Amino acid sequence: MNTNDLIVCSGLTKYFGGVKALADLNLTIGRGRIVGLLGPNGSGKSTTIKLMNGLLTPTHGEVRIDGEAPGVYTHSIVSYLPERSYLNDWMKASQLIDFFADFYKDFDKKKAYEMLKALDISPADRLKTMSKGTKEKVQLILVMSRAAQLYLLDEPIGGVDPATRDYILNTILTNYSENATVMLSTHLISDIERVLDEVIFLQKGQLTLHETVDDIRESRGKSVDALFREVFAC
Amino acid sequence: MLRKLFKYEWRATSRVLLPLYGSVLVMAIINRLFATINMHMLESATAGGLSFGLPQVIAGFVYGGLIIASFIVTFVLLIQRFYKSLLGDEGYLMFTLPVTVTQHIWVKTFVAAIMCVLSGVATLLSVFILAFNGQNWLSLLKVFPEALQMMFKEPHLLGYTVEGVVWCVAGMLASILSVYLCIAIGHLAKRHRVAAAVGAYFGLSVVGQVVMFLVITFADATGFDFWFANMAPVAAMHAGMLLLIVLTAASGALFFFFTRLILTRRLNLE
Amino acid sequence: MQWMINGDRPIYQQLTGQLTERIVSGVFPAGAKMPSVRDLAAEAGVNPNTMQRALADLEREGLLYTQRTSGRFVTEDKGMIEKVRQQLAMGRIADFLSSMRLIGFSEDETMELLRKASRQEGETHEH
Repeated sequence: MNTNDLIVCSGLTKYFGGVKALADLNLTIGRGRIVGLLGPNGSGKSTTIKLMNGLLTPTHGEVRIDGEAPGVYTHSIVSYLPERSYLNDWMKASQLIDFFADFYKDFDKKKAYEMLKALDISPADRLKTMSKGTKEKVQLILVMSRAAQLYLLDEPIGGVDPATRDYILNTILTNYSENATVMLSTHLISDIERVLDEVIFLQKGQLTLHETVDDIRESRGKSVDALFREVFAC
Repeated sequence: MLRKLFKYEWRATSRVLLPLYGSVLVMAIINRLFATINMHMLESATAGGLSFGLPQVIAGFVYGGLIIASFIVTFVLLIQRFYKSLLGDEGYLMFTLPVTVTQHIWVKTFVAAIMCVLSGVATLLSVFILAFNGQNWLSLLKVFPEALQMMFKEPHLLGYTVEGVVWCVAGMLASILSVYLCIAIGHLAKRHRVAAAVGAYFGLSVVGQVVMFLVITFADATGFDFWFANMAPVAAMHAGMLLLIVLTAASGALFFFFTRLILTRRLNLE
Repeated sequence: MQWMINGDRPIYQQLTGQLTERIVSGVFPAGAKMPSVRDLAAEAGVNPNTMQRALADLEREGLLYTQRTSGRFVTEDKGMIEKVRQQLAMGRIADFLSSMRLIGFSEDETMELLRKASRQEGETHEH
């Protein structure tokens, strides 16, 4: 459909039993943006991303990706990196590449193999023989080898070493397209602040801030990292 | 998309089950060899000793164990394929593929059905290997053309057979779908999901009984069975079979419908 | 040359300064074609839109210009580049002088210290 508002959340609310995970989220994100979803653990970041993917159904409200509710179409234009390990352990890296290429028309096999080589991972290795860090790298390669319109990355730099983190951020930047948007959730801001266009603060399921990084620096005279520490001080 | 999904589901399932079924056949062959060697030993002068030794007993036990294992493992694996693959960590991958929930359910159901049939075939084949010698094989092979001849003479027999097969297939698909529905109902519960699924299974059985009771009462009340009794016996037989097929298919459709409903409207991956 | 992005000032402003440094020092010489926004952003590790904003600023100042089909270029006006270089230098000198004043040195004392320091630099370079 290619509307300009890639993500539109209207009154998006999610309760788990009696627990309010996300309350009345109203959000619009355009194309060609790199957006940071920031907040402490349990603030609703993963919930928001899972709702955008259709892995959770909203209690109230709705989310639309390129004008459509989560479904087959949105799955074909969204590339999702969950926080957990979600791939078949018995498959080899090359088999996983074939799997993704089979289901996603926008998957670039050549790029995937190049990235495997750059990170020194053999395509013939089975996932179950890899260390946790290597598995995460493989998952990232699969996600970033797609030419998707929306990349949803849930805590992509949380547990990785600084070199890998730089590689991840560099991949995001070199992948950049004016038509596509990257949304990543994290609680480690200082590392990624300059990669972001805009940031969203989530606090206990509520959106408390949505501004561009430069606006925050100009209007408050401090970095987003400093602001975050202030806002979320314990 | 459906074909690709099927390919991966088949690969994931067959890599565990096909070797298992294969080993059932292999064990049958081994047991058969022991039995044959045994017989030859008996016929020759040497009696006792090696022929009734431990290897054959062990082989017998292993064979028996493998058959039981093949059924249990099939059952467990097919539940696992639905439960873990869709509602566990792998669900994060499956439910973000550009594939409809309908396609997911169908593919898993079909692979499950094929595996059930294969497990039965493997067991049957293994029994044939064990029990049949050359003569039996020949007479068995003769049965098929004879049966076909009989069926063409009496077309109704063919009809019953076809209806029977269709009913069995529908019944198998419906049973698989009922298990899936129970797993999906279990997913709705926040805690103790396994208990909820088992509870759902009992619940479904009760509902099934109640529905049967209602159908029979309805038949009584409206004199439906009277219509039945007045038909020619052959027609009644066909009507009965068709009714069975329709009821089974309808229940299967209901199981499918509600499973799909839960997985689209009430999906909550941890 | 490293890209230095620090804590508080808007990133696009810092990028404007860093790009200017590269132009006046000849990393991006007069008339040269600039790398794409994406490549520059990836090299600097910053958001491409932010880099774009900095480049647009420099275009407005006249240090860069865009040719619709061929891309972005450094101005061929060497005189202008030299002027900007002088301005940059004067600004830094002014900052330096005021920082020396803050610790109590007069301008003459500062000049003397500069000469001494420069001589020492020259000696270490000869060895």
